[in-house]
Amino acid sequence: MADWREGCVVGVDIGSTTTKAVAFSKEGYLKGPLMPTGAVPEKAGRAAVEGLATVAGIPFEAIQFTVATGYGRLLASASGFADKVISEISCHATGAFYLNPRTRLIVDIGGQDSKGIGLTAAGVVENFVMNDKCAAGTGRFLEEMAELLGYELDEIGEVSLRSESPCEISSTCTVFAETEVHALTTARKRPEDILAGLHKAVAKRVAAMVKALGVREEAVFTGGVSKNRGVVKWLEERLGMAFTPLPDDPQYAGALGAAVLGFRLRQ
Amino acid sequence: MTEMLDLRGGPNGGDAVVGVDIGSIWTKAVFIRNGQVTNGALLRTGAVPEEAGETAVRDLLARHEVPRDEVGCVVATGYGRINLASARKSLPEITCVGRGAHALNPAVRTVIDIGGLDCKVVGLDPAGRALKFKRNDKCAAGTGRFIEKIAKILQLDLEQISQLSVKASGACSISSTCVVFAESEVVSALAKGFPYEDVIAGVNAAAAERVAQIVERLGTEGEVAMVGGMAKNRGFVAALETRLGVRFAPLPADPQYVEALGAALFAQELATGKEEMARR
Repeated sequence: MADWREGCVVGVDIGSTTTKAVAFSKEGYLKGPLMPTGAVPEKAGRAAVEGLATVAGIPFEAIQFTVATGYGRLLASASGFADKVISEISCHATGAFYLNPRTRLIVDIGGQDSKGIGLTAAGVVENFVMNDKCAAGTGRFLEEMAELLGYELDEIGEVSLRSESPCEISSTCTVFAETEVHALTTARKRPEDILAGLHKAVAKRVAAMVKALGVREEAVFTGGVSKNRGVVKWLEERLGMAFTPLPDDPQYAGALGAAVLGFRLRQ
Repeated sequence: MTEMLDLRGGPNGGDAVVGVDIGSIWTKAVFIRNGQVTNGALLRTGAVPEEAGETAVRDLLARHEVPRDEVGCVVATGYGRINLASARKSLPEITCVGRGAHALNPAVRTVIDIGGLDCKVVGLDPAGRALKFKRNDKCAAGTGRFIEKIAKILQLDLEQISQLSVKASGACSISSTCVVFAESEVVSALAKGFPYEDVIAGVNAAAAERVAQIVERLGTEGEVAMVGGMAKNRGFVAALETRLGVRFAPLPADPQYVEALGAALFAQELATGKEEMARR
């Protein structure tokens, strides 16, 4: 068992909200604990790799090669613990393709961004779109709304699915949508109906972006927001297709891709 | 607050008229009697815009002891202008802001109007008629709401924001366009110990950048004036002037009342039967 760890490469995805690390070797891969990114991304990156080392049962110092990706990747490189930096697009593409080689389209919604990536049959990035300028259609939108309505982020998807008549949310902008939510709350609309409207708004925004790439199968959904079943449902409805479930945690696809790319570089 | 305007050439005397601007956040009313313009009745629009409009008209008239039957005509404008029972007519904001700005300074050909929830840039012909415009109403960046949100984080009111904004020694750079992301940047800048005035300067610069992009899409001609509540944020005005490389034309009036003034001027035309401007 000790052998797989020799020459393993670590990928760390320092997202705007959470940080993930994966160790990869030719024997397979191992995920570390999910860490909040917090105010100092490079610190979170290091903590995630240390957590992974503990899970793997190897000393931190024994890790010979670490690839960083995600929002905090440059800070990780500057602070010296990452040996290489690779863009999120490449890492997500590689990670999703590794988990499912029939993947042709990746929808990734993270804490503060959303992207669509089109792949060739060989897993090469063909085209991509990305929004990281506006909180609409990102996890941040949902986070703000959960707080506004007094829910936990991880429960709003389920609550939204209980709705029988979703409210109409016409604003794209998070700030304007908040105003709409206030008006709906004042009008005594049910929380599940308001939440359903908000989830549909996220789906509408992301679908419009992804459709520009050309919708194709098989499509997979990655990133933290892919765990929200409300977004999954309305995004599938908007795109007119179902996502293929990945065989492992979709939130780790970027970190896994970083590790796989790092491993190939070392060969 | 009373201001004398040169309304020679326009109808003088006779009935009082009222213009009421029911904005997304504030409702403003202006009345004109004997060529004299009076601003007043700044109140929160709230959830029922027509109620705010009626209250604004009633308060303004009561304060100046004008009996209701002396009011020849009421014209409504602004986001909540529909359904105001006492208004004889409702006119778009773009039309009214052009009319108001032109009356205050006939050299103005471009008006930048930033209210609570939107930002409009209007190009005027020499007679003050709106020829073209660009509007941002999809995104809170570059609107009054942006500054309101930041004011809330800093626990300051908008007047304090305006005062502090001109005291900055250096702007703390806020790179986000999105208000939600900018809020996070502000929180982390404060945690890093940046002084309030520098943070506010950074926010004003970010908002000015957004507005400048809209202005550039329309293009400016002649004198440029800025109106709306945001025109009272001195640091923002300075940042936008710097970014655009222009000096805004002075307007001898409270910039928040310019749309209401335009509506009142149309009301005057309607009251005196000189309707050709208002009909357009």
